[in-house]
Amino acid sequence: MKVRLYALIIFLLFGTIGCYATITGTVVDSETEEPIEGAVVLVEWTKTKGFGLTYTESYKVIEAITDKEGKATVSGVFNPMVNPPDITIYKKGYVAWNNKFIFPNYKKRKDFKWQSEYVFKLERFKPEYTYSEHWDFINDVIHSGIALGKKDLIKSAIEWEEDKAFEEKRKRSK
Amino acid sequence: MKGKIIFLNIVFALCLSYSTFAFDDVDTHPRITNKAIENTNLDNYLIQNLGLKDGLKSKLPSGGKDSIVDWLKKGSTEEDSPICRASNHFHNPLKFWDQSGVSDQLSLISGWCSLTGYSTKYSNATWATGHLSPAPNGSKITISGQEMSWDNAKEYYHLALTSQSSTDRETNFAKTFQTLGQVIHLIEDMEVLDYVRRGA
Repeated sequence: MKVRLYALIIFLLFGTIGCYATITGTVVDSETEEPIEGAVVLVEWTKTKGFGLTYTESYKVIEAITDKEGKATVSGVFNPMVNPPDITIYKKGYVAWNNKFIFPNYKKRKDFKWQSEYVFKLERFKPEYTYSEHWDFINDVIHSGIALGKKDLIKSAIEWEEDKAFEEKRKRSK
Repeated sequence: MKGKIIFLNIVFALCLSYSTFAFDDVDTHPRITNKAIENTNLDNYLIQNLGLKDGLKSKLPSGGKDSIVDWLKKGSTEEDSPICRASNHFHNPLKFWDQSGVSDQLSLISGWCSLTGYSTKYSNATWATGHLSPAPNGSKITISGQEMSWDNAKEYYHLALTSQSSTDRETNFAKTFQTLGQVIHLIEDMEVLDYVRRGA
């Protein structure tokens, strides 16, 4: 009886936290639903340590690029101690997609659930958006200051936007 | 068995009830740091005075992908690591600096921190600057285990300007900005009420 109870507890624990199966995502244009090739998919798992005083550190970072069909596969993590992953998808000309926040107002995203297959819909970058705000958003959601050296694909992809963002910022500060 | 469960529940409840409101180290601290540096003249200073033509977006090491902004954000994230560093992030402004560190930390946490080399709880201001009383005339100490203070930032900056090899210069520039980020984290903590009241 006890063994069953413990098994159930362990099952529930692993079923709700820290168990992330491999995910295959398809990235599409939100208007045309056409697949987007060459989008960078960044997935980062973090781990919070301590009690009373805590800090969070990067646990695992995976970068992938979508193929002709807009698909990219990211292997999962099976560790009950990790936090839910942060997923960011970027393609030039589109608004970066993140599973926790939505550009431009950092509204919390509520429509994402980790599952074996998922369709990520990217919105085209609109003229009313600013590159400086978008660049800040991307750097915030990818946690550009942690796990340095492990996010080179996405950082390379946003380099052109970094130039535009700083042009805007420097104009503003004059 | 029942006794053990009750004991564990009490410990768990104590841990929960003792949480302090703080900025998140991965999301909030770096975001505030980014906004803070945007409102300074640092970008222009780097271009005009240090020959870093790309300013804040200069990469360290050059040819890499991590910018000065990233190094500042890294610092503002890592000031909380390892956990017991945060014991030195408090400051009670009603007391002298040498007594204004956290005073009512849970003994369980204090015990753990003592075991990991953080037995003294310095005031945030002392931890950041080494000063036991306000500058310019206040007495100073060297804090063992603290290599990311304002003084350390100045040392790394000096090395960044004077080192012979470009690799050493870039390494020390990176350290300078990371350390500045750590000091900025401490200033940010002073905006949180829990950090400037009596202990946590």
